[in-house]
Amino acid sequence: MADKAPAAVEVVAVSKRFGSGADAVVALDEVSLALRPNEFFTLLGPSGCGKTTLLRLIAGFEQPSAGQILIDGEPVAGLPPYRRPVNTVFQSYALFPHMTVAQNVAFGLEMRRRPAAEIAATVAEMLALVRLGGLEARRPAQLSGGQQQRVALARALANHPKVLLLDEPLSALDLKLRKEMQAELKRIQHATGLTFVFVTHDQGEALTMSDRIAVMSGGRVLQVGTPEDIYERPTHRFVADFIGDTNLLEAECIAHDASGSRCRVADGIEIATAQSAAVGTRVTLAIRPERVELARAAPTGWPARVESVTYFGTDTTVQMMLGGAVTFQARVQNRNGAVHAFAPGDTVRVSAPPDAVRIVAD
Amino acid sequence: MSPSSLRFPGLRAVLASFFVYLYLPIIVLVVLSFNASPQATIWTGFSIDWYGRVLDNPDLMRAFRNSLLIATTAAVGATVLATLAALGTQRRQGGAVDAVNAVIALPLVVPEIVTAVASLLFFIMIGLRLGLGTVILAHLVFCIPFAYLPIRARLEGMDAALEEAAADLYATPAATFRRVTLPLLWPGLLSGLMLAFIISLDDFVITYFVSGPGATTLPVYIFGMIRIGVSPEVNAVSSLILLISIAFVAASWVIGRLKR
Ligand SMILES: Nc1ncnc2c1ncn2[C@@H]1O[C@H](COP(=O)(O)OP(=O)(O)OP(=O)(O)O)[C@@H](O)[C@H]1O
Ligand SMILES: [Mg+2]
Repeated sequence: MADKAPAAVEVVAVSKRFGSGADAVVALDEVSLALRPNEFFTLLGPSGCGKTTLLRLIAGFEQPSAGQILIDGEPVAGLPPYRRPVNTVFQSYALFPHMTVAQNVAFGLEMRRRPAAEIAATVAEMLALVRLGGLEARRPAQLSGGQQQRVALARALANHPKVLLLDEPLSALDLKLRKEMQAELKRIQHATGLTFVFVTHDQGEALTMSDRIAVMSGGRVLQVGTPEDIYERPTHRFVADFIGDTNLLEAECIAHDASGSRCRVADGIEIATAQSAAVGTRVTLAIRPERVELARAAPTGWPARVESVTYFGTDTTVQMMLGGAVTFQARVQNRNGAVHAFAPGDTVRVSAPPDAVRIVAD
Repeated sequence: MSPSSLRFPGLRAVLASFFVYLYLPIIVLVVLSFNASPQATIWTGFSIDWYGRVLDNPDLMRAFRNSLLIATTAAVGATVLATLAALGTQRRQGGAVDAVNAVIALPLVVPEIVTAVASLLFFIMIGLRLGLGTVILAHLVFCIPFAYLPIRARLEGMDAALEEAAADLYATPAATFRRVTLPLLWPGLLSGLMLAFIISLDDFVITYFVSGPGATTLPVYIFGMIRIGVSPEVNAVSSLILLISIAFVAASWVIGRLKR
């Protein structure tokens, strides 16, 4: 197992409070994480959930109020940022405006008193890696946003840190450049074999780039898993809702056996799930719209009335009312062109395979 | 010029008279400093004799040297203290910092005559003999707010993430200061230093009160000359001071350009 090697970064029950007394802000609440070496690990969550705070704790700009952080198996409590084997790509890039591109990239190596020849070689290598060869003598103010971002990346990578922390490095870029840089980051992570801790509030970015994702909300980590885990098997209502579209249904568990349970959403609407819950408990069910099957006259399935049909190009979203009171949506792929099979007012039959029906915690 | 400012027909005239009012006396002074006549206000011909007289006047040159020594020492001292104060209050918020800022800036609104009397009283009370030392001390103190304001403004405009980035790249606090904070602070430091220097060079009231024998500065000396009568020599020395000031401002502007 990968767990045999010490975690690249281990965060153990870390809490962080700002201020004191009544107006104290709890930015992180007992967060625990273990990052594997060579992993592309993403912190995903809405604004204010504590992503930046967690990075700043790992980098050493802030000290935890409780708990501890280990880097490569070593506790780092009390170590100032300049003694930690991590480097940061700041959201604002924070390039030194009075230095050239080459001087920016060389800065960390100079601070660690590497020989001049090694510094020159590393700077050239890093600028080639981020495809900025030829711009050595420019000042940051003479670069485009994307170029500045790559300088920031090169400056951090030049130190060969064990862990690279990236705080929303792509948020200032336009869509096209952003896509390019996403690919570039993945390529660089692959080439260098470093552990990346990548912060974003963009779920698409998180799903496509990460080995694993930690979904955060209100200072807590709700779920850690592969993009597939997070998307297909959300454990929390928030996770299901934050990532992609989802149908959330309140239900009561009415039967339970080895293959799963049956839950009643409303009279006559019973949904099977592959997960088990005790009979009589109230649960929340999450079902992805694209896993829902619609049929005009199937013998089984739950009856629903079509409310609206919206065409999205690659797919069509059908908005429905289940059992007269519960809204529900299905996404039908337009594999054979636009779907005209359903129109508002139609009565349809709806079903979903038990493994697509997830019980989520609130 | 924006078109709207030209729409009022009277505006140009007002603007012109404003500049005349501001600069004509200075131009007249400079022109008359090249006057051959010993009557300071009647033009008879061109001459640079008065400049020669200024440079040959040992008392005046001693006063000038005193002024330079005082202004240099006070400006450097005030800039160092102001920098420390600005760094100390950097990126801190709250009542304490507001209070510190207010206390540092307060001397700017205290009438100079009050500061002058108070300084004199203070020096006598603690038994300091009046002389160059007391002038330098007094100047250093009243120059601090002038040096502090541009330095603090510069520091406040600096991105906090830059110092964090330096720390992240293995720079100790001392190295961060040397390699990042100081170079970025430099223009602010320079304008603080220049401002303090000019203010000190120019001061009359406080200097007049706290300078003892042998500590006469240029403004105090000129005041003494004027009491005998406005002579072309006074015009010449005033023109020289003007030249020094302009050179300073130009130098700070050029240095500001080069840094880019
Ligand atoms: N220095 C501070 N003093 C007081 N409160 C702070 C401080 N830094 C962060 N906070 C609070 O901690 C919480 C988490 O902030 P953090 O910057 O970590 O959020 P984030 O997830 O990075 O958000 P965003 O996506 O907007 O960058 C917020 O409520 C914020 O107001
Ligand atoms: Mg943030």
